Amino acid sequence: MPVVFTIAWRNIFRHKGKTLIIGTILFLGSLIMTIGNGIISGLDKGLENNIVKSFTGEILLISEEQLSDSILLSSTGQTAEPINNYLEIEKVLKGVSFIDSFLPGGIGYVWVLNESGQPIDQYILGIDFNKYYNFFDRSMEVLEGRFMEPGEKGVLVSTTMRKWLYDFCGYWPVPKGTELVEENLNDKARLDKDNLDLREELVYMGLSRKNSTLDVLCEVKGIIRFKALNSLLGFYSLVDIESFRECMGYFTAQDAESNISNEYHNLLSLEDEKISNIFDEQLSEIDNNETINFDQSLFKRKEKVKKTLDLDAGVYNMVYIKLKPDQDIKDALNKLNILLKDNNLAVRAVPWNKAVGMLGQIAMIMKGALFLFVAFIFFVAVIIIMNTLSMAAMERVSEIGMMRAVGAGKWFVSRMFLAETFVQSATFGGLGIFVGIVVINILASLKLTTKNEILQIFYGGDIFHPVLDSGDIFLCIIQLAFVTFIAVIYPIIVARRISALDAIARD
Amino acid sequence: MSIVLLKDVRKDYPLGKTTVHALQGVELDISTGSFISIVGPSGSGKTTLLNIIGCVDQATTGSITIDDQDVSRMTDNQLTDLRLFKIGFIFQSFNLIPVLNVLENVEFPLLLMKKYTSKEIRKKAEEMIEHVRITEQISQRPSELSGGQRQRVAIARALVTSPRIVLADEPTANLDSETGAQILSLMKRINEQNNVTFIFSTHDPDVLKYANDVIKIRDGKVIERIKCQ
Repeated sequence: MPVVFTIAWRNIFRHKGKTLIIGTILFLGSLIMTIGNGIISGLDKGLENNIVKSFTGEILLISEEQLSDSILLSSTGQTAEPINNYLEIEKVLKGVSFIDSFLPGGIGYVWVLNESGQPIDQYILGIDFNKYYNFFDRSMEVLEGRFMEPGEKGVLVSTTMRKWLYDFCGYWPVPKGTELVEENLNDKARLDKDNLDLREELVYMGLSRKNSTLDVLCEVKGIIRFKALNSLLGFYSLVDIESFRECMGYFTAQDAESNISNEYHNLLSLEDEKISNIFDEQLSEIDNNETINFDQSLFKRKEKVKKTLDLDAGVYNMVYIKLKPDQDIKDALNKLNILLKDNNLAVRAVPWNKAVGMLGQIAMIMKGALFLFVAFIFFVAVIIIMNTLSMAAMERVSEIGMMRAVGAGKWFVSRMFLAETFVQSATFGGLGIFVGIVVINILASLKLTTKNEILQIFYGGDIFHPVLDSGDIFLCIIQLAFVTFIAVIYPIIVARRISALDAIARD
Repeated sequence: MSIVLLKDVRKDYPLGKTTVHALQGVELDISTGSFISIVGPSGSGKTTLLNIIGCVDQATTGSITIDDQDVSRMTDNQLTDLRLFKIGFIFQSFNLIPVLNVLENVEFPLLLMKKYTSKEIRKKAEEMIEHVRITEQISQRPSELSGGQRQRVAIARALVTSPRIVLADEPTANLDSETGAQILSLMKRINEQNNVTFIFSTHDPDVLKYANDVIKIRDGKVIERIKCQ
């Protein structure tokens, strides 16, 4: 063994007090760091797994016209661009080998109207509920009322949105024909339970860029909660696809059933701005004072659908795609985008984490917070280790000075300190990492579950499943090495300044 | 032939607002194989002189030549190499590496030289330990040795690299008179056998019995040089 390591190893046992102090700090720092990394990694994987499984799939198709990829939660509350050729898209997707399943859906930014005050804005998802429920692994549960039947119109209000509606509009949505369930009231509503304004129907008004679509009355069928990450995913209420289309002014399946001409088909699929542009072009010679008459009934509420419709004939905003197991998302995205372009389908494929927009950022914030905590622990550790090692260097002036006198260069002194710190770091830090791995595995095996929505964000789902793969463990070792290196820089500078003369002067 | 040549060497230390003149124009010529004692009262400049000869301190002015090399303009690395290959040190407090045993302490400077194989290093160290007669303590650590034994280890460490000069600052100060006498006779024996130059400072009048040159120093100046043989 090189003499620097011999000296380093034996010094650990010689200076037991200092070794114990530094060792304890390194052990605890590494332990906390490893557990923190395990929780961060579990959170990351849990969030990905739950969001992909319950809410997005791995890939989403969105309109080529869509400016931002974050269709599911844009910071500006922008309305999604329509996709009016789903049947063509469906044909192409059916032939893709790496796709496991796919499902079209709508998303819209709406106002929930309130006759006694300001409306509240929110997102709604337009879906064929039964397909949606099965596609996303039955990831939600009904708290009150029931799920929607096939072909039935109505809305499933999330618990989060119900709370918002109560806080901002002052009414408490309940499923049609059900009693108030007191145990589901929040604290504020419970205090006011005798005077609660119960609503069995909600009026949504779709918001396009010009805020000029129709309002739609939706019967509340049920109050739902996502089994995992409800506080994140519960920003959305689920509306049947036909009501959604009516609300957003889109071409519906009912319109298709009525054999509307291609001209109307295209017209109805356009956003308001584009409609205005058409009129501007076609009616440019009309006197400004002259009233322009066009069939408003096309945008009005449709008659109740009484027979089975091909819902896919109407307009959607996105297509959720689940890939076959072990399929690389990046690779699938590239192949899919080429295929979509080759078929001129006017849609593009985006990964789930871009599609969720701010939801993904929430995960990043959580990770960042945990990382900062671990970094703080290590910052404190660096300061303490640095001080202790600097003191140790000062106490060893005779020894180091003697070494310099007999011919040891400054580099040898540096190597000796590096070796001593490395040996301590490897021993105690390594032990901390090992114990951390054991703790993470024990915690994971306990499969702790929670319904607490705040805890679910930390868990990355409803099950606490911290995880450390080889990459995470490597990261722990890199972090430990980095901390060790930072902590030893100043003590090395102190030790390198010790000269042979210092040792002789002390002699 | 000169192994150490000092010309008009001066060393000044700042001390608060004043300057201490530790050495004031020292002229010294020491021949190879000498056994020289530097004597003088405390504060006379003995240790400063040894430090400058040992290249652990630099003169303010003057010329210093060690084994025909002008050390005045050497870099720190060059001075470190010079100490490693040409100068051995024996300290008053022995200054052994506490976590290494006798053998490892003696091997230490040889390892720094990066000149020998591990087998050669082991052989040279064992021979030197035998030479200073502490073979029985070869596996012991400094804390398990007596003062005399520690100083023998220090001597072995100083000599194992076959230096041209060995500097010893009051090598017997921490030893009883009998052990001190043994150490001095050991140094004298090595001086005679290996033709190594020994320069040591001392207060001990018995040391003068061994020296072949005594340099008296006072107020930073060499005031007398006595040939003892």
